[in-house]
Amino acid sequence: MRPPPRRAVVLDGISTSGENKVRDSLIEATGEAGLNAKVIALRDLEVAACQGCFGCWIRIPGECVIPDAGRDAARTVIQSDLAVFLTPVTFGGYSSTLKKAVDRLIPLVSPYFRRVGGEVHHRPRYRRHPRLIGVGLLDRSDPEAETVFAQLVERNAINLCTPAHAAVVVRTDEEPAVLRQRVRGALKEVGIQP
Amino acid sequence: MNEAKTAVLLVGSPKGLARSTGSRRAAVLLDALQDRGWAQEKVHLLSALRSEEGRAGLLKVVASTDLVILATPLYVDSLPAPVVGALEHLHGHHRSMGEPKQFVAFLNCGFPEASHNATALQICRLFTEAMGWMWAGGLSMGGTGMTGEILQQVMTQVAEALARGDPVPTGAAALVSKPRMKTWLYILGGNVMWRRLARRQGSQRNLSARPYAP
Repeated sequence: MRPPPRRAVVLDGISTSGENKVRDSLIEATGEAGLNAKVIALRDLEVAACQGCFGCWIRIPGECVIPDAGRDAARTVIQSDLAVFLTPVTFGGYSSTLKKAVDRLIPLVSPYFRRVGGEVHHRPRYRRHPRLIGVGLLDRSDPEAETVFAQLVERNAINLCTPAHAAVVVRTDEEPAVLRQRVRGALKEVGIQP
Repeated sequence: MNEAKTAVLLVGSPKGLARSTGSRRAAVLLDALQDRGWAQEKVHLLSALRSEEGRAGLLKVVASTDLVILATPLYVDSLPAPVVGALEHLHGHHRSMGEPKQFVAFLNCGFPEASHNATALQICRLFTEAMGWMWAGGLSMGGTGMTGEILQQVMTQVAEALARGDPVPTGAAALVSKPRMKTWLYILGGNVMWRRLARRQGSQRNLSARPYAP
């Protein structure tokens, strides 16, 4: 029996549901690698900001208390093999559009603490967490912002308990073929190959 | 006659100033500046961003201030979404922000090590540079951050430096970052706390539930 197709989710903090060459390159490259990609176009959705209430840990463990697209996005992420964070690089970090959804991913980890590499972090809630790729977009080269972006993806990988991660920063003027090549490199880095 | 200088505290916690421990600590710094003749303003970012009036008010307050203090918790390794939204909003209007300002970031996280805040501090620094402002440094606290008289003393030192136009003194920043509890004790105490909080909600048996497991 053939194994079920692997799933990818793109949390798209860049575009409306219209045309976007980076998102399209991502879908193409993940498709080549045998993943079915679902795009969540965050700009088209109402995602409330995390209230910091810890309700997802102590009231309804594992589920955000706000019933909106942010809660649905968390479900889709944990049920995927790969999560892609797509965003304009904003002061080295994520845009507020993507960050709203990322802040709402904390139900996916346990409130309980553990030690990782000499630091305290949260324990994973699930047996399997998705791999993570952060794709950042810049208008022009900015090595400092790129470094901070890569650091952020790496820190998220620890705190969201992902088994592998990669960060890619692309420029808005790059050709689709180059973009696809960069995404293929990131997929390889997290162990996803055709 | 010289006008009094102004500092604005941008409160990044969705909980607001009254219910946010980190913001209350940052307010000690604001009060120390007030003791030196500075005027003060406070803006709760999540509330400000909810309306056009609030967004315009945020721009107005920041444009007329000399020092911006951002006090925020750490959310998933960086600034909470409403804080990023506020920084994007300010940057979108950077040409109407008047004279360059000093910017201080006051971060606190729920882990014992303040090192978790490092990436968010870099993001704050890059924002400051993008605005053409002066980065006055960061105060980074873990979940066992200082309180009481020591906090008061350190914030007085920081206020003196900022009032002179200097950055946050390295010694003060290091003191603020220092963990005040052994890691093993933090993990033990924290895990007991979660169970206790869950018991109050009647969910202690489900704390490790996996509602989205296939």
